[in-house]
Amino acid sequence: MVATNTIRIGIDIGGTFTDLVAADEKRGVWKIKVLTTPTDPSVGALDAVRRLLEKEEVDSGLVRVVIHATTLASNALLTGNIPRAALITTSGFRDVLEIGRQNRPELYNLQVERLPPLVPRRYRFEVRERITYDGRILEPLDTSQATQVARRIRRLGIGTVALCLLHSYANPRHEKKLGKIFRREHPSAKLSLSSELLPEFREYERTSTTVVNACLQPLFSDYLEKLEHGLEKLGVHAPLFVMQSNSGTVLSRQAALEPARLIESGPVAGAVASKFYSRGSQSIVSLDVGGTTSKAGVWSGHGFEVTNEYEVGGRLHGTRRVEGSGYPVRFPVLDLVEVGIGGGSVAWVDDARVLHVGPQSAGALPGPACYGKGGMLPTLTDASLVLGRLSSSLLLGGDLRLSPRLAYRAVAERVAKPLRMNVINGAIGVLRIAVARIAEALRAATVEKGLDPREMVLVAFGGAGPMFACEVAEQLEMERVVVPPAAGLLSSLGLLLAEPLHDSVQTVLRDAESASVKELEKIFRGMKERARGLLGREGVEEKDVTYQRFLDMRYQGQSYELSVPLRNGIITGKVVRSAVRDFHQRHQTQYGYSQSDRSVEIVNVRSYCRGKAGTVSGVTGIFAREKGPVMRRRVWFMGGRGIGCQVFQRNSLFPGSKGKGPCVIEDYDSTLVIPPRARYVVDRNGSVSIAI
Amino acid sequence: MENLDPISFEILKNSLISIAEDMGVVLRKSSFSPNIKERRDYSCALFNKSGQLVAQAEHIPVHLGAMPHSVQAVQKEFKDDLAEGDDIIINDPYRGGTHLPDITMVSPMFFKEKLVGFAANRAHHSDVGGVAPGSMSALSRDVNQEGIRITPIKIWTGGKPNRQILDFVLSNVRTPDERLGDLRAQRAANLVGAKRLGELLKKSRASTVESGMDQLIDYSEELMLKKIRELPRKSSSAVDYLDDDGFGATDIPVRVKVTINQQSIAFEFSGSAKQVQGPLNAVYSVTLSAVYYVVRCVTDPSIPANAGCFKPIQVTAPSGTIVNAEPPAPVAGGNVETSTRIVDVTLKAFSSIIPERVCAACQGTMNNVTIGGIDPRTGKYFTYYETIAGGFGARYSKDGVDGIHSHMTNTLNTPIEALESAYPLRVKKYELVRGSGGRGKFRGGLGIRRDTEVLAERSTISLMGERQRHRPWGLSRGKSGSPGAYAIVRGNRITGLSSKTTLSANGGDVLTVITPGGGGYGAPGRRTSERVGQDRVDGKA
Repeated sequence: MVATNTIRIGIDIGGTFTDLVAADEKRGVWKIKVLTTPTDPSVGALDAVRRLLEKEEVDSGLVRVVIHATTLASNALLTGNIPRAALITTSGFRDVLEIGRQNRPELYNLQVERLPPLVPRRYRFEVRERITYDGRILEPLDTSQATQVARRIRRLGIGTVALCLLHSYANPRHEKKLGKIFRREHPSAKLSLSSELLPEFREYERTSTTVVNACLQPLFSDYLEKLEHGLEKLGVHAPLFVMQSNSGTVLSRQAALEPARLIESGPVAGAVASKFYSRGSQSIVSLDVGGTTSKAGVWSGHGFEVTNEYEVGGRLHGTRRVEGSGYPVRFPVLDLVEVGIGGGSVAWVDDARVLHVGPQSAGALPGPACYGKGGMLPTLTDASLVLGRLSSSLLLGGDLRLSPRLAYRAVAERVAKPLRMNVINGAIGVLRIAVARIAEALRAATVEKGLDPREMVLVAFGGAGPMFACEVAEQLEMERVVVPPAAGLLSSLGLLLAEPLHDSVQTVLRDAESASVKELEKIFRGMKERARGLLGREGVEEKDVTYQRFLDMRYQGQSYELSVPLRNGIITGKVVRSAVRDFHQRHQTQYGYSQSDRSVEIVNVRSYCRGKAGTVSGVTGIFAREKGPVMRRRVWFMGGRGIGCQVFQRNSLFPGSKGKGPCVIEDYDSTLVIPPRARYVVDRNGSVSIAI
Repeated sequence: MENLDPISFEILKNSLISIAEDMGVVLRKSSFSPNIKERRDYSCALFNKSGQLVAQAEHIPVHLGAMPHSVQAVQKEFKDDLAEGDDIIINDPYRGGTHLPDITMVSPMFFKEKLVGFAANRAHHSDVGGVAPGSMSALSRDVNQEGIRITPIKIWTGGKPNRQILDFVLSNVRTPDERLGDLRAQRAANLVGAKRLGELLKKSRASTVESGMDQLIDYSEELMLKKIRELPRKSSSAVDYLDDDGFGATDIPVRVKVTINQQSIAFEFSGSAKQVQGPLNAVYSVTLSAVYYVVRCVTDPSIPANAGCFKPIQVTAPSGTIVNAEPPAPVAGGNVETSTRIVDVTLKAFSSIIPERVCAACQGTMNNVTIGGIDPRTGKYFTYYETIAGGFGARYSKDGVDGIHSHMTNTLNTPIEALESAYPLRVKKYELVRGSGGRGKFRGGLGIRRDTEVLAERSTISLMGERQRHRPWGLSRGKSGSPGAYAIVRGNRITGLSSKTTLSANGGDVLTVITPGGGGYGAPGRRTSERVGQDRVDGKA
């Protein structure tokens, strides 16, 4: 296929595979999958691009933009494969990073440990200075001491430095001065200033965010430079963008300065695509079921739900993140509620003969028993194979043959026998538990936030998402499920659909009644200027910029804030009062009560600046449209019944194709199971839309 | 009663536990006391209609054994006089509570007009009256000095607040506005529990859910029995000491004899000190919590915490002792300090039976700091309460953790940037104390030093701590951690303070709290040179 128009390229580097998806505006689509090259991920990425240009004969000159997502950040942090970094704090506070919130991640574990601090004590330095909570300078910065510290760090050969002084969100002057001293004394050092990155109160979380950023800076600037350079060499002169955890993209040069914003780029991209494929729906739940976890995200009306409580490498307890188990990063992250259930989740029976699924996963190696790579433990994938929900020949386009015999044996030995039931019932048990737990994650993502899932559309993707989506939807009484084309590649597709987005925050801590509207307006204007500057460099025109403003508010005396969107226009007393009314309303929805008699505090001023980037109009032409064979096999459903079903090939379905369950629709990297009574229709984007 | 199949049971079990956790989220995010919202000093649980604990969220351990007593007190008081929309509060330690600042709210749950169970949560309020702000005074001599005693009472009836009682309670505390907010948050949490259980009952048959609850209790018991049978059938005794009660009693012994039987573990506390004048007395339910905590740690913490989990655990504590106090003994510190010592002595007893599963003594205190007075910026009362972490004891194969909360508490610190804006206080220093971890092949975790400047005139500081005389002990020839110490700096004068004291402070006075380090494990000479070197360059030893 020869493209005649501009091309967008999305590259998603995961733990095992690097996926490339490219699309032109005539709806030509290319997919390339290569192995990830862990020591230097840019090698694999560039290899994928080379294949696109050479094998697919795509003209490099037509490439208009390359958008990238990577797990590089979390891998580096969790394996400790990070450069030496230094931290500068206010005198008396260098251990804040290590003490954290002083709690332990596990209550009943005497062998408990914390993740090691990213900057060991020997590289944490203090400078004399003090600013108060309201920004007054109590003690000036000791510049000669600061100079000595900077020289010392230079002599130690440490090339990246985090600066985080107490109350710098209220007055950044000392941090800025310190930055100047470092630039003078240690000009090659990369600096991360907390007051520039995240002018938000709570010293531990801000310090942690700044330190994570400092540790990632050298890695990302090298890596992104290499990638850009490599693209140039291949004749691709297009700008390189990187996906951020906030669900928008950023130009690589800026990304290299704030790499702590990129940590969740991959999973977030999938959610972005799910929004696209549910076009027309006002509120959706995205469900990504992978090998070890399921992730649920929510779009309601104005945007994705975001969280400010994210920790890199944090552990899960049910559907909750265990606080204090990872490294906090306080940039807004698209809120994906996670649960430890995926295709590789191991089913096991405990001492009291109760069946569990997960959170242990068989991973890629040895993998589920049916992979025949030596895995003996039954997984959700094995149970699905036993139940006829999965074909033995179709996973990964037929590259991998699954062994029903091994799956059957594993389920029989480790599930059915100890439970004294037959193998089918054992496998159905595994399925039911998995579905219930995934439903639990969806419930946490919706009901707990005051949203009614029954009014929402479930968009399912990931290798295993479509296999369970309909039954998960039934649990929550949801009526519609959408399965996008190439559900297994949705993250990279999402990259093609993402737009530049810049968020800012500033702590103000003011009573809503006495807050100066002028001051708020000034802060918002400053944020807008900065974001416009970034968007300008990213090639977004003024008319294509949209701007959302929020006030994070709480009742005076509370500790958690709710973000309330503001109307457009100049900030006036009226605008603030209406936001306060919205806050009471939101508090009622979220927590079941409100207190209109209590004064409300504005904690943070927050904004999002989004640029329309003229994304591809749709990615639908993914499939060669050909007649596929229709097969039949017996498939078991949740109720326990085995039913003879038709099995269709996804690429034999056209927009407008319709039918009803029970049936199975097989794609090259995922399988959609449609239960009895449900009806489906293929829409013009190629998504299968199912009415439960 | 029908038994659920193992699959339906697993699904129901997960739902019940997640209900208790959901309640916690609501409580934390919508409450006002820094103790609840920032420090997470609360617990949420579900009970069946006969008052047995069915599911408790992984909140703080000190409430583990104590919540059932509150529910039983409610049942005893109200019998059938319970209706939908009733919310009962309790804090009387001698009527189902633990210490006065912990207010428990119990709400009966109904389905089709029939009682199906109780939602309950307990939260540590910042102030409940009494002689000193924060209601954690070290110098109370009876429970009535410690604050308002609330025996089981309906604070909401049929969904409506009981105005007079609410006013009565609120007029007996220093920060009524905050209390009201917290009580509303506690109620919101129970409402969420009831609502979610209702959804569950609607989806499944009511009898299924009810028998599932009972089955969950049996399930935990069965697992716990299995774990107990894996332990060696041995017996061991130990003694540990509390420093003093603030009224002259020193070296207060807590003794335990642990006996592992085929089907149970027995904990016998006879020989422990008689109850003391100062507020170090623990009521029986606090002792239960401490023992349950240890049992969960040394068996399998993944066994769901409920009545069944603890059925094979027998705890005997003679009444009138420091581990089973009788009225009117003051108890504020029993919950925080004595409970911790009960854990220490119990672990010490276990150390000769299962040395690889225990740890050397952790800091062994919560370092309770309360500062109250009038905020000059607003002219209103303020009460600040904080517990300060210390060293974790070293383990069989690893060092103790530095500057972390251990055992019976896991409360978060108040962020300095949050507390300086909320209170007339300024933190001057917050750091690990070099060399404070007990030496050993594996060293104990380091203690913390925290200096706080008071910015309000005529403020009151209350301190309650331990392990300033009896240091956190090491195991297998590991050395003790360094002791804690409190002091106040006025101008150029430093004055040492006792571990239990109440004093007044003026603007500019600086309170210094140094917390104990953890005990070491194994002979110090066997520490690897690599570990020694690391500690040296990091300024930790």
